[in-house]
Amino acid sequence: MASIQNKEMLLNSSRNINEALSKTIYLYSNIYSLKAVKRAVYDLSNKAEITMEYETGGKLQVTFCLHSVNETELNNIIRDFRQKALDHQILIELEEDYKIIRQLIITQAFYPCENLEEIVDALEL
Amino acid sequence: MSKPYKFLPFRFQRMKDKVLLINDVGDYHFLELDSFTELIKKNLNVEADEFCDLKSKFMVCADSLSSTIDLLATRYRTKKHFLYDFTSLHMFVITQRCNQKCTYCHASSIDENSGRHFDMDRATARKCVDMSFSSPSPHIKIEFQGGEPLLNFDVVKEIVDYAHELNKSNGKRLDFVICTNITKLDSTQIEFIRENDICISTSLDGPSYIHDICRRTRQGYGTYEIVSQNIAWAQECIGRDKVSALMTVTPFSIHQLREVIDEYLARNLSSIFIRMINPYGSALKFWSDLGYGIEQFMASYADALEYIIILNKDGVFFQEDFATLLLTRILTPFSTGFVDLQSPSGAGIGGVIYETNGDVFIADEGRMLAKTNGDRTFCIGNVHSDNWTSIFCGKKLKQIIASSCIESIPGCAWCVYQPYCGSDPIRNYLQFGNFTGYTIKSDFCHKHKAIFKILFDLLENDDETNNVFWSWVTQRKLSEVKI
Repeated sequence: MASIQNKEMLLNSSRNINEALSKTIYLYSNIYSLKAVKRAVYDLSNKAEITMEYETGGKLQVTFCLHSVNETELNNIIRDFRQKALDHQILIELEEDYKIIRQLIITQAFYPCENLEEIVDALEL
Repeated sequence: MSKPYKFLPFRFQRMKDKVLLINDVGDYHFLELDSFTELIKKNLNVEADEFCDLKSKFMVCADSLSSTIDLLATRYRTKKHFLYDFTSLHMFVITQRCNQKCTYCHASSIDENSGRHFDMDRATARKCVDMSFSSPSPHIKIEFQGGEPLLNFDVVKEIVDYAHELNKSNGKRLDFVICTNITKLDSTQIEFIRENDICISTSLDGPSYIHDICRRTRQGYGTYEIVSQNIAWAQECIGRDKVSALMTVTPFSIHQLREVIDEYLARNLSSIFIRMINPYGSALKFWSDLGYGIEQFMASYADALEYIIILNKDGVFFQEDFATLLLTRILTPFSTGFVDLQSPSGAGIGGVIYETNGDVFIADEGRMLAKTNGDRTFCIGNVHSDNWTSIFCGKKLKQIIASSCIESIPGCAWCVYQPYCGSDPIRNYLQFGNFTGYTIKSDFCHKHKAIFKILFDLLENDDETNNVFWSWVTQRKLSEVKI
């Protein structure tokens, strides 16, 4: 599903030299939608600097950079990220599945219509 | 037997070896991991007990979809019913003067001898009452705040009398609450409070060695003695259930919340609101001494909650108010508007606050921001120069409210706890410079997620605690709700 490439590098800043650790993983875009990956990136954006890029061959490159050299911490973030990306993908598919039902519930809550059954039939839900 | 079924709107989150599912109307269910996998693959046996549970909690539908949608629509409308109470809470800053100088004062009050020009005058008070009654809400709650409202009690009386007079033709449900440090309460005032069925909300930070650290007079004396005496006196005069208290957690009490709870019990109070300190007014000025981390607060909150639950199991009815609010959302289908935690935010549409000069702010924190650094972002008008439509239907309020719908805020939109939660645009503005905020870095979000997690852990794993929670939600004795 995803391959991991380890990269250790030194980052220079204008103030001082900070040691940093980064790792890159590749996700296949036919498994994970961009939306799911973006949500997972958002969820973990306070724990690491995360960048995304498209690669050739339908792959999405996600790089995690941690401004410390704690490899265990970085690995835990990546593990969490994978779980979150997977859960977001499931939720997005569920959302797609119940999207119209949800819209009908909210519409019916505030602008109820008489012919709900006909609408449901017409939408072939 | 496997048969096609449809998903109804729900979100989920893994919790240890289970998955918590919560639908849009707040029903929840825990599933084993394997069952969750089968559910999303649509492989669950529709005749199995597990499927029936999910069906009864509106996570899935295998029968008539239109009647299910109709039912869920009714439930959704009920949950959002607080929107029909536009705007029910009207807070009046009766005076900016106060006889106390609490270290963490959010209201930035001034000396009680500073002169009456810091008070709300009668003409402004009546205009504010007129504005309150222009609200379409069938329920009007007028809350007197300050400074210390007892220092300008004639105007409190004017407001109460005028509101009663207006209500003869309006026929709304009308409630009054006076938020007071209670130290200046006298017999004439308590008689008026009793006659007009006014509730008292006061502050008690704990036993004297905690309370007196932050809650002191301007001369530097602790107020514990007079506060505890006057709480007892007020309870005697107007009834125990009409007097409530809340506490502000400071670094001086954060490790002693059990002692604070014991103090509340000794004062014959039946509940406590364990409130985190907010970075406004004087609290912001002394933040290096008064601030603490969310993890530290949550550890203390969890311990306090555990202690309160033990007390209840031992036969003492005592509740934590914030947990009770969240549990009401989790366990019942009813609407619980709470201006600080609802979606869209209750700021302006759930409650407003009138400054002494008639300025209208969408929340007390917005007023404090204006007082602290002159930022009037959250002022939506003035009762002397604006009418109800321009204040409550204006562009500014619409923009703030539109930005506070958690259904479309990143992080909240996919959060499993969304049906029970809300946003605080003022806190977001203060912390992030915009109304929407950044949930990942928000203490507000971290705190609420942590409390929800504690509550759901207890709901899932402890039947006896479930009974305690039900007793809080239904306001009945534990023996009456025990299954």
